[in-house]
Amino acid sequence: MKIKICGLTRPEEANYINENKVDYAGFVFYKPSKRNLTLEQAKEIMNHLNEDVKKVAVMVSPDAEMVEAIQSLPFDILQIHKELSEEVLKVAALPVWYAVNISDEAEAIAKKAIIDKLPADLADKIEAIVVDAPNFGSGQTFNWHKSRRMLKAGAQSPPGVEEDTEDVTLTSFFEEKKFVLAGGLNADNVKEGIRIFSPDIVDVSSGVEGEQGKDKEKITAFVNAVRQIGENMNKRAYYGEYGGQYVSESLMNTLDEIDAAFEEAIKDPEFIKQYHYYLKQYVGRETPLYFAERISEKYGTKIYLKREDLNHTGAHKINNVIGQILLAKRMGKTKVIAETGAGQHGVATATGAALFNMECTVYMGKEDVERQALNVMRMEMLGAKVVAVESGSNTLKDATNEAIRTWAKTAEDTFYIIGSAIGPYPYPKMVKEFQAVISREAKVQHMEVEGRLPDVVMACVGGGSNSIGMFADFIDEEGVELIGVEAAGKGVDTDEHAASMAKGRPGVLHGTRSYLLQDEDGNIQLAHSISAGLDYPGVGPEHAYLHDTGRAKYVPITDTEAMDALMELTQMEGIIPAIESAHAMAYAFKKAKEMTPDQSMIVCLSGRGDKDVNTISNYLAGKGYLN
Amino acid sequence: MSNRIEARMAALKEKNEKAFITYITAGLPDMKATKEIIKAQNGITDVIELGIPFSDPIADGPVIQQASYEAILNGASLRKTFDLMEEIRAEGIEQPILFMMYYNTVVNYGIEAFVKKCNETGVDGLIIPDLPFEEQENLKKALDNDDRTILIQLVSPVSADRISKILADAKGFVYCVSAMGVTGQSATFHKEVMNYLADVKAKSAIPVMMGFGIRTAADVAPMKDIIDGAIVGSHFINLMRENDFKAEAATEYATTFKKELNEI
Repeated sequence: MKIKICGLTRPEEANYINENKVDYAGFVFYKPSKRNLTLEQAKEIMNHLNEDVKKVAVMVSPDAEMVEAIQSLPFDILQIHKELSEEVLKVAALPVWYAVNISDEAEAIAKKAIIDKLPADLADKIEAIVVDAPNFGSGQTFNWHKSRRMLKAGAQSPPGVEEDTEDVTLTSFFEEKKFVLAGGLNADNVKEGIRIFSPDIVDVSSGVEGEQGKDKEKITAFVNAVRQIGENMNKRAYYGEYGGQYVSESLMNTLDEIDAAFEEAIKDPEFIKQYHYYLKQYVGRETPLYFAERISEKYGTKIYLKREDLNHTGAHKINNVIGQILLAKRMGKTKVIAETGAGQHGVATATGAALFNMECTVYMGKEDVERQALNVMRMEMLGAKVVAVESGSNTLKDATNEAIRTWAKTAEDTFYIIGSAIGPYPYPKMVKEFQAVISREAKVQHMEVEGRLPDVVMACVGGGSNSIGMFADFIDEEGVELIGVEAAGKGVDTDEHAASMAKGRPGVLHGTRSYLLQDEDGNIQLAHSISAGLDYPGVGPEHAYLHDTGRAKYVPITDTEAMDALMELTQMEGIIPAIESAHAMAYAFKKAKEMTPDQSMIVCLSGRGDKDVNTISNYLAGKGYLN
Repeated sequence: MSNRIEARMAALKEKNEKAFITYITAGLPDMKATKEIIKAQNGITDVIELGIPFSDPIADGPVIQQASYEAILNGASLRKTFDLMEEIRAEGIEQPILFMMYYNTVVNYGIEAFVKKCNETGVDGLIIPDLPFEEQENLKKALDNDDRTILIQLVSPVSADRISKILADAKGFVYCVSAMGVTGQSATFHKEVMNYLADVKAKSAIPVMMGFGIRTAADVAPMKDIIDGAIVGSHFINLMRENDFKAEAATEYATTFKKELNEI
């Protein structure tokens, strides 16, 4: 969304334009206007404008002589109201913006007829249509809703409403040119105008004036209003079409506060220092990048393991918890809540809460409470309250629902620590930021040993926290292949898997738009995986974006493949991986066969397998699934 | 005025009456019962909210969660609720009816197709609790061409500086969440609820309704001079359950509430 401030009259107004990074500045050459300028006055103001501000000369029914005089100054655009003659277009050496009073249908149609009759080379000089109020510079808005129907009726006409053929002609007329929305805009109504018309440029004059011409504060307010909606439209909260903030109204200010506090914190050297202090002294970072000698030899390429399993509490989850809990403290919150599936994020959060003396409640599906009794015990030892959630399927997604509900009630003193790369913005960004330490370390470590970047980087994907952390610093390195490994459960062609990317459709859950496993009515389906940590029916929005853009590839690995890899890694390297991480190992073995001995890959070993010993023993005993 | 909710609001204003709104989950226990409960309130309840069941109702408390869950198990869906709307309108029932639903159900149906179907089947309004103002663009674009279906805006006690922008283009009525969080909490209202309601009322050009945690007309007596109506959800479901979803119970409750609401 570009912004034009029109009708400058004083040199100091140029500074307001510069400071607010306004895109276009308009100079009026029309004697009856109170904003009329002489060429000398215009030149003086232009001298104060930054080079990248485009200068627009605004004229009413000018003749060729006037246009030539205007073009002696360094203008970028000619904006013409009322009459536009062929003679003027012939001498026009700059793009022309043509103003149309859209509230007068007859005038709009007449102006279209004028353009239609122009020779193509002249018509092409018209770059944009300025849609203005009835009286030029009157500061009045025109009837927006009526006009919108006239301008944009075509495709969106409701059934049963007959279309006026003239409207259709107008639609095509305006769609060929850039659309400048003008006429009575101000900081209060501009958002609505943008929403209704989706213009390319918004043009304001009297709406940012005080008693003495243009008002600095009003310009800032106007620009902020546009940028705010501009950001929404550009989807600051989005990764492509994924992400967003799909939460109840009562959480919107909370998200704003978290966003502001987070952005401030990560720019504050003290905060970053504190975060890294705890990562080093408490979590035990940096974690090694271990060259797995025997499996490398067997599979014929260099396989490095990023040892997140060696972190305190046994997985990468603690990296994010330390970051978010420090943020919560900084924001003055005294309580934290978290959701957990298998209990890893719950244990990490309970650990952080004990460390920083905060009250902690963990929401866990009733079924998970029963099958993860040891982790429940750990959380309770750490002083957390574990709430067994009995609703819906009694698993992770229901625990997340309940955590969100509680948060909506208690956000004043409670911080919700989300453990996965999901949730409403800024959560996916926060989780990535606090897990990015994985790839920052790995990149340097790989460089030290190999003197170059790895060829392949791989991690398992449930909600996607370890994988987004493992990808983070490599996303901009085009030569590095990124692979996310989803849980295929009993196979992607069965009903029992957690492969939301392979088999899901975009939808909205837990505050974010991403790929989801859902039925034909849009109800969320249960995910299935032997690994509780991957047992989630959605995936983080940035992964959905990386998937769609092709930057990362996502592949499925079944329970059986993962368990085979788990046993192989255990027996060949003496490392018992978490079942989650074993999914990444399983695909690493497949991928290695396509690679040469000189190439290398990094696999994120996101957690250790101690927590899974029960599941593994049941699996080996042929009892099948615990999950 | 071609929207039933807006027409009803105008009529109430004329008569200086407060609005009474009930919520029932569509398909609980089945669509036939839902239809009877709607018909039983015809001419009494001013607006009926039909909840479209969803697997993950994050803005609802235990009562509506359970209702939603049971309705899905019993085969309820958006498609079947559209069928119900067609039947109701075909029978000449002109009661204002709106859908309370979650955004994924809309996205899954297809936004344009969904709006078209709402227009056609006489769904007068939409309440989507997980679609805050910032995310409404796509839906509003689809709704803009036709006012047969309008989007109802929600505000909460912590909306603060957001209230003005939310109300700027709000239609029908404003839904004031009276307590924090989710539906069905007890009637212990948020500490500054009176100030908040007064603030919303002062800024709103359209009627202001209060919902979340209301059981009887007496619950809203303290704020009767501020609000224009009350919404009963979880309690109404509990009541229907206790009465085996008998339509007469709905008639009786609605009649009493509506009468008392305008007497308090």
